[in-house]
Amino acid sequence: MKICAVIPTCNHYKALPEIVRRLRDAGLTLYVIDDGSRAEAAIHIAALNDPAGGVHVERLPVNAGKGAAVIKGLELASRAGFSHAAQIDADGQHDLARLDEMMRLSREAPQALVTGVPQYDRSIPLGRKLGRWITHFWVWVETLSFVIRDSMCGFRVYPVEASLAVWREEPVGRRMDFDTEIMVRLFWRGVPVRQLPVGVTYPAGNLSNFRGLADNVRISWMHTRLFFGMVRRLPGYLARGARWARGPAVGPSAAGGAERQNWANLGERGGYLGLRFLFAVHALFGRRLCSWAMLPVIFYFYASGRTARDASRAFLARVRRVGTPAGVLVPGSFGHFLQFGGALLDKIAAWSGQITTDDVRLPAGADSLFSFLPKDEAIILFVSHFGNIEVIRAIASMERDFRVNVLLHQKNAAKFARILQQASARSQVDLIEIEDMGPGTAMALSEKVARGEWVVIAADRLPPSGEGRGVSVPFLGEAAEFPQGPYILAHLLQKPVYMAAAWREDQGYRLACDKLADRIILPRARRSAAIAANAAHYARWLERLVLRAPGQWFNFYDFWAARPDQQPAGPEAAPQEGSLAK
Amino acid sequence: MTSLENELKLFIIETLNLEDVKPEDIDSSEPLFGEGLGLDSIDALELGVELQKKYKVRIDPKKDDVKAHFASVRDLAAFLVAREAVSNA
Repeated sequence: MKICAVIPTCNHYKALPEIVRRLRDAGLTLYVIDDGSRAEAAIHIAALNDPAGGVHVERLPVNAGKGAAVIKGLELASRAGFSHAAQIDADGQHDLARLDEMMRLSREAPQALVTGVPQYDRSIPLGRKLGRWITHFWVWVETLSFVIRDSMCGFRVYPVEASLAVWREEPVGRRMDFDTEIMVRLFWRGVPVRQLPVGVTYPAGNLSNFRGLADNVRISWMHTRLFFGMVRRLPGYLARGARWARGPAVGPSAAGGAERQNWANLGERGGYLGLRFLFAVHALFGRRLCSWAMLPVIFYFYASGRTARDASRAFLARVRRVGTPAGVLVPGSFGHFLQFGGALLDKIAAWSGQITTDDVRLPAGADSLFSFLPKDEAIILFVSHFGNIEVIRAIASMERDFRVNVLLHQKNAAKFARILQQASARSQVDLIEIEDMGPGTAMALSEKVARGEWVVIAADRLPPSGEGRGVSVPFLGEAAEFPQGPYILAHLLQKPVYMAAAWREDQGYRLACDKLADRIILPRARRSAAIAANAAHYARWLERLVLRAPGQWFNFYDFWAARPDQQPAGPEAAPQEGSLAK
Repeated sequence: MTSLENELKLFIIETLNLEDVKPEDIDSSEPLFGEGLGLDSIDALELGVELQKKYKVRIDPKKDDVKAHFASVRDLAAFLVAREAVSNA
């Protein structure tokens, strides 16, 4: 492979001689494209022309835009037999020391687009930062992936022919919209993306060619194009099993696919960037904008998550068969998904302190969240994936200090919860991941309840590992498998067991909390029968609530399957797991 | 048979309500779980919790080899002795 450098410039000439000198000293052939600079700048730029020394200056007589200039450079590079071209901005904001590393990445993965990911310091103005995040967000939606960490950096190594092909065959913005658009379109074609953190400096007295309104409109229009481009490509993407293009090198990183992420395995990798983003959007713009920002995401879940969709439809049909109390409407399947998105936002709102006790309607006779719970004794709280118990936990933790131990089945659930925790310094929660519950864990929990700490466990889902024991009890008209674990735990810990759920009703939340038993005792000889009796009690309680708000049943998998070997394997699983307990 | 082993056998029988079993029926070296005495994983949890209450031992599921300590009455006794030695020191 042969690499050259392309430097588009429009009126920037002060930093140019130094950039040119350094690149030439590094042995690179340069194409400096003067994009219709004014006469004074043009003279300085033209003076750098030194074909014998490997510096070619080419002038576009009329300003055509940064993208057009880069493409001009790529065409010259292609004609001269270069397979790759490094793009460097002319204003000196790129740290040339990183170029070696960038070219090394390019040599490692010749088919890839190598791009810098700018590392800004805190001095970046908020407006600019927000603008970048909005672009990040849209790029994630447009690529249905978190792979692209930054799409706006002009410090890159392009694979020349692949990039020119995109330019020839697709509409690509020729100005400030170029950097992002060509990247997304290359990504759709299956060109891997390699990324390298780079320092960015704003040289004093830097003159920016970014033209406020015009460029913002241009960029909005670009995202509109790309969004519909994504929608149009969606059927093919789904048909290929969540891949944008055919062929083995598909995906952002051919090297083991380690970087390959999409919303579907959001839980496994990527550190919940999207969730952090939602948090930020929520804090800055509030719920309404957040809901809009989430709409395409929910739509994507709905369109792509066939298992989840089928499960939702079957569940809603079942609810209609069983019959809801007067006045309760059973939503359609998409409405069901939307409520799931709403629940996610509510969690964020609750942890940001925007939902308070006033928004919660307590059971009759209760005057505070705690008035129906023992004052100082430890309890075991059974929760579920119905409604949004997270909301109650957030409010509760603001009202009083108490330690809670939440048992989680899955790692991604724990990850989600940790992000919520980071968002709220007040929470006093120990998250205990139980892969399998052994004597050691049981002993630790027993010590904790002896100190008065609560234990919270989801009583509706079986643990994902096949090891989990289930107990079959009637639920919404048919036998369903509920986990035995919560009852065994209650038996071991010998503390009062309560069942709690909170769900959205009208503009606020309604809370239900009832005692299941003072103690659950499982005599060794009649253990199974005792578990089944308690589980049946719980299922009856849960069923009554679910029928009051069927759209807030957030188990998007076949709950009545004879034996769910697998937990929900879909996008819906990831965020939802977070509500798993608490 | 040491007295600690005997004590543990009584402890197991009481904790789990093993009505038909007497201490002398349990061989100190036979496996407690699966074959042998035939206890199951829930029994293990119960034993763990009661053991912690009675003997104030801690087991860290990440560091300790729980399975090995609970393998037989003899292993359990050895584990308790070792822990006592630690706390006496």
